[in-house]
Amino acid sequence: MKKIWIIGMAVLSTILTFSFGEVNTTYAAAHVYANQDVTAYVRYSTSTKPAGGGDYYWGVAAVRYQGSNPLNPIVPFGTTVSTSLPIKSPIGSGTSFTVIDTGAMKPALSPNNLDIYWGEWYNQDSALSFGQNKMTLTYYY
Amino acid sequence: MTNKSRFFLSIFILVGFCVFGYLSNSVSKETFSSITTELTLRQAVDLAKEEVYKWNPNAQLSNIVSVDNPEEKNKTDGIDGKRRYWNLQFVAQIEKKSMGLTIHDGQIVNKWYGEDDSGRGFDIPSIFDSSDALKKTIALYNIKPGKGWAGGYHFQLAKQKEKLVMTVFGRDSKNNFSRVDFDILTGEITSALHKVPYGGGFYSGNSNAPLFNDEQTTLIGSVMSPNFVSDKSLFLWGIRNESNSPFIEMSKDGGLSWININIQNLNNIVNVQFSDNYKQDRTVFITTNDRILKSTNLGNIWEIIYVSKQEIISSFWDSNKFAILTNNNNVLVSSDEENWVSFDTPEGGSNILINSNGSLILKTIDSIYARNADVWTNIKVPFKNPYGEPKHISDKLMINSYNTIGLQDDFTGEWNITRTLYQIENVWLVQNSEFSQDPTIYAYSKDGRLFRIQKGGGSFQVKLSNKGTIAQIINASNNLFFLMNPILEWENWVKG
Repeated sequence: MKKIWIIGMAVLSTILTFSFGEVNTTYAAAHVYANQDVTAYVRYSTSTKPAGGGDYYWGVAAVRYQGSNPLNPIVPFGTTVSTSLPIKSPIGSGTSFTVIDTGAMKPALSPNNLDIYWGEWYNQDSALSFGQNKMTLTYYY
Repeated sequence: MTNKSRFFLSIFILVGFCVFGYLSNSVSKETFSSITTELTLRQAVDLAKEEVYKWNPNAQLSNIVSVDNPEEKNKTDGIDGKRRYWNLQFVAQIEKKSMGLTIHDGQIVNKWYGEDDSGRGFDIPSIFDSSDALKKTIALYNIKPGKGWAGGYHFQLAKQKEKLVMTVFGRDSKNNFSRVDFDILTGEITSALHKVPYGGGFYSGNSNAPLFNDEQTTLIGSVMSPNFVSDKSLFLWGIRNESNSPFIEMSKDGGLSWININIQNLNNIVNVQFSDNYKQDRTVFITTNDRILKSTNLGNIWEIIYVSKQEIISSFWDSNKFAILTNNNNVLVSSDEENWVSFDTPEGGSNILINSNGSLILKTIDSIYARNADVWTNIKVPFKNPYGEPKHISDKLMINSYNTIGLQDDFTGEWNITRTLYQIENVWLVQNSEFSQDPTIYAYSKDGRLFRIQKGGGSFQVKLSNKGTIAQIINASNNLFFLMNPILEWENWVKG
């Protein structure tokens, strides 16, 4: 009887420990920000290369800085940004963008905004009409 | 054994097992989190494939890129072509769907799903890995690992102009962000580029010769004495690129010479402001992320007048009233620099200022508030999506969106609206030397043109001869001063 009692207590305490103790080892890999600005930019003749430096292509994004420190961008290199709505541009459409560069220091938009490459200068009207959209952005890193 | 003894023994055993269980669990977590597994690009793709093919057997890879490890910013990662963190994108081209995965330490820690109609999927080639690409890049370009953002070496594989391109990211000998692209099918280098800074500095008018320029620094802000015409005093602040540390310089001769202000433990500078009565009191305030400093003797000695436990993100001083905004939705106000009154703010405040009525003005992600009679009231801005940092000069509050500038009079509440045909990057409200005149608005377009907005809404383009992007415009005696950030241009990187 005594043995059963002790074993019962041990089992119960183990269950309690693993039920209520902090056992969550999930990494904080997804960071969700609601109500963020999503804007579009085009390549003008003065810029020689796109964000990232390679040939321009859909799906590349640059990020801005935390506060006023231009050496401290808001997310790590390689982050994938997923938009809550599909983005349709003249050069492609989709919901995922890869951060491989930083942009100039511009404090104007929401803290975790996304500025999407929209093609060459002649897509300016399309970029303007896309304007500034509020979306939920999820940063994966 | 009595029932009482049995009860206490039970409690003792229960507590004992709980403590043992908790400690075991902590140790196992410690061990778990200290395990680091680095993978090459190829190994990361192999790890992800099984999971992706369960989602769609016809899925194709469209992008894989290594990710900074945010916990170890200063460590040299990727030295052997391997990284701990990877992001991958796969597409099902017929269904126009996508699947993304994040790998940390050899485990898939996140999956997400979306749409994709870019046609960028490709079959995974079995040759040439990130370790091969890095060896070749070091041999040919002596590429260095980066520090801070994009730390160490990074790797990406994506389709560019119908070619499968593997890229190695690092730094050149001058610490410029650099990249070398390989055609993954042949192993040949298709492109080598580095991001070179041009221009930047602090300029008077259209002069090509900067009053201050240092390639190793990035300028963030400047401020002039209210009596600049007579005392020629001004401050500049920014970041030293190599050390990522803040600096502040003062000039007492209009920018011809500069004195470094040496302040111990100087945190990132949020703002520098002269007292309105600087001519008499010689008082200047520096707000950093964690404190406010004050000098009453031309910047020779600085005393700490406030230390914040929360990060300070914005500050404003006007006619002996100080307001600071912290990152926990709180604003602190003081009229004597000793006694501070705290108010909660609406969620997500980014800027604080004080208008001519003495009211606090708060900018959040998508709204502007004024605090009157202890209540935050939403200011109705007569255009959509205001996003610009609010500015205030001479009884006027200025807000902008991507194509509209609004100027509100503090006393009448009336708005003056100007719409532009270009996308606005930034706007400044510049005080004229004649204080009876309204301040002048300058708008900077996304494509790098500067416009002076006329009364009635017309825009006149201002010629700029100095190179860079404008970070700030200030005016002294009808002479404009420009704080410019360098333009960073990707250029061909020659071996050597």
